[in-house]
Amino acid sequence: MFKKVLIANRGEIALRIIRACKELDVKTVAVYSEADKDALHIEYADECYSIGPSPPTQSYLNIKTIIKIAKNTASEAIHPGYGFLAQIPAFAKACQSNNIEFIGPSIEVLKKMGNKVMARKIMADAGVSVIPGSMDAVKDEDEVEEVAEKVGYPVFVKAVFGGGGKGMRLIKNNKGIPRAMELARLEAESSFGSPEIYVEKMLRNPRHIEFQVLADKKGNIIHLGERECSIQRKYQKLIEETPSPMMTEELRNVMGKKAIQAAKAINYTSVGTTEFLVNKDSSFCFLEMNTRLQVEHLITEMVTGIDIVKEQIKIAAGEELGYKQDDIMMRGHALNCRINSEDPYRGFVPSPGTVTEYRPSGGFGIRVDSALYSGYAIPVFYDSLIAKLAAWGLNRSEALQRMRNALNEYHIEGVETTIPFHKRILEDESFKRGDVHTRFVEERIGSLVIEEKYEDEEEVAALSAVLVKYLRNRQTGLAVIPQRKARNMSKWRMVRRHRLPR
Amino acid sequence: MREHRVRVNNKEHEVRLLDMGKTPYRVEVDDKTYKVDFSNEITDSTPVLIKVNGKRHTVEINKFNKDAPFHIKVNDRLFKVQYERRERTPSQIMETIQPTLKTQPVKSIAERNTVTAFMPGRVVLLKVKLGDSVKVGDTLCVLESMKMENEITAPKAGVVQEVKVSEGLMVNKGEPLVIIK
Repeated sequence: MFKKVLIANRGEIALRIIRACKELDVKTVAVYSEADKDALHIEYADECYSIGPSPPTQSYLNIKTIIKIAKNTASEAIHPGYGFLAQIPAFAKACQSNNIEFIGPSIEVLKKMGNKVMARKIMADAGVSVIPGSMDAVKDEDEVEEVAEKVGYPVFVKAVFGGGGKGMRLIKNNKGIPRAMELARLEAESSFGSPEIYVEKMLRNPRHIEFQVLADKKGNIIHLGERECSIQRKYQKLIEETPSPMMTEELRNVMGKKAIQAAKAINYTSVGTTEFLVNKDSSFCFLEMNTRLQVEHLITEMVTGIDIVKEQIKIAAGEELGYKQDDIMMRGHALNCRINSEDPYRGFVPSPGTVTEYRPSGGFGIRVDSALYSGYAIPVFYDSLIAKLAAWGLNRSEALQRMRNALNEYHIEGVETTIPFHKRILEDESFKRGDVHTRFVEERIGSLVIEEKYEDEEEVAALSAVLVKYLRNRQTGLAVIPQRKARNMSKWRMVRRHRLPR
Repeated sequence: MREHRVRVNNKEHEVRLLDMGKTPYRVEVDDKTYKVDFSNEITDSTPVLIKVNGKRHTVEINKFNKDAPFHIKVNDRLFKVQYERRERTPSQIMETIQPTLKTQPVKSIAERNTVTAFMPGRVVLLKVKLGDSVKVGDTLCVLESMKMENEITAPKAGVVQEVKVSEGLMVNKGEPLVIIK
């Protein structure tokens, strides 16, 4: 096992990795940008080093500085977390040429799966069905039209070097081709450094289901079951759960085998995820392979009992998987809500700022992965994910109820969060039945709106009374202590709380 | 005196609680008095059943924040609510002297001409310069926050009189960006 690991990331995932390292008795090195000098991952790690200004390109994406610190601190390996450098072949290459173990798959795998058309070809050749579309990057409008006519509208144009829903545009008919191509190319260029795009058919309301894969360097490869990730907004996952409400034992076996087949086709090592789109009739297609630790890995940990991050580090250190496919059991049900500092009442605009009060949820079956604390200032420079709230239950309904309670308990003041949005989804009848697809949020939830009008004052009375009483309870500590009248208080006592008038 | 001022969707109401401690409570909203019964004690975010003059309502407080507006759901309808406690303590008298956003009734002309940042972020693109004519909806600049880009558009037509920011600059929420006249 490694003696020391550098964590090239921040936020909750840095904490998650540090915790895993501590359990493995591995020393940790944290790196941080200017904006993160009060971040928790600095405190939790054994050593920490500044890597530059706040913008990611000058800090968490700065390969040279990160490698230098790894060498200076004698770190034997680097864990990239997710995002930032996690899937950048150049970074894995830099690690390799400096004799540092990159905790993730090989450079070859990163390259192959990072190129979406290449990934499609490899998977098709390996007998894993892919979404109908172009097998190469498309050059011009005619080519897009040709493919679209063949597979049928609507289609997507997607960035060849993209992923995660960025650099993609929907085309409903041939009139929409030029504009969609232009926008997709622009976004692809600015986000991924290449304007190359390809075409994929838009499936009709599929589910997004992915399989967690674990592969060691000795050729052992298993899967840890599926995650249902259909609850998305603008192709960004919001809620994940496992098992999927639609899954059967037979289908899990079939899909799990395909996921492993896909990973074997590229000699995959480390932890990874094969994503599929699943149609109503349970037919499924390969979507993409995520060659990293994923945000939502925690729910799989909750039902399988396997610490995925520890396994990932052990695999990188050359250890063999300690179990076989038959040893894997899924027990109960788990779901995760991604809590972002965005305002769901104002079109999800980012809401960075200082957390004035913080009180996380708790109790049996609840897990909060977050780097927040009271007084912490959420920077504007990085992703808006501020917490992962996960709930486990013996069955789906218990997990859902636990999640509802946990969402009610969770208190983050000072910034807007997506907690009210999650509450709304958990109340939805279709969601309760597990009847979801990737356009569920768009079709059934939309956005939260603040009522402009009200009908009668009784409602106002109701809410006012509740509010006032609520505040009163809050002030007096649940109304047990008699309320102290401000007027009877000595004015000198007030001086302590408020500045004297000048 | 337990007198409160509550602003519901920007309309102000005076609320007074009478006979507190005895159920049913009497609540005065503006000039009307209601009989209010709570079915359970109020805790954070728990839906509460409440009877107002015998009619049942479900009330849920989604978010509490001392200063910012928060959201209350009454029978599945959402309201934006701002709360002000009215008690004449020395500190609060001081507060009422200082004009706050809540008490400013009309925006000054200068304010109406100023386009401000609706979120904190970095100016990644500036599309206008001094003297440019703009139409309603024209992009003035692009703000980036938390890896998301948001366009700031012109709320009215006019000529750019002043550009308060430059590309790369960090701005706070509410900070002036462009003045259009």
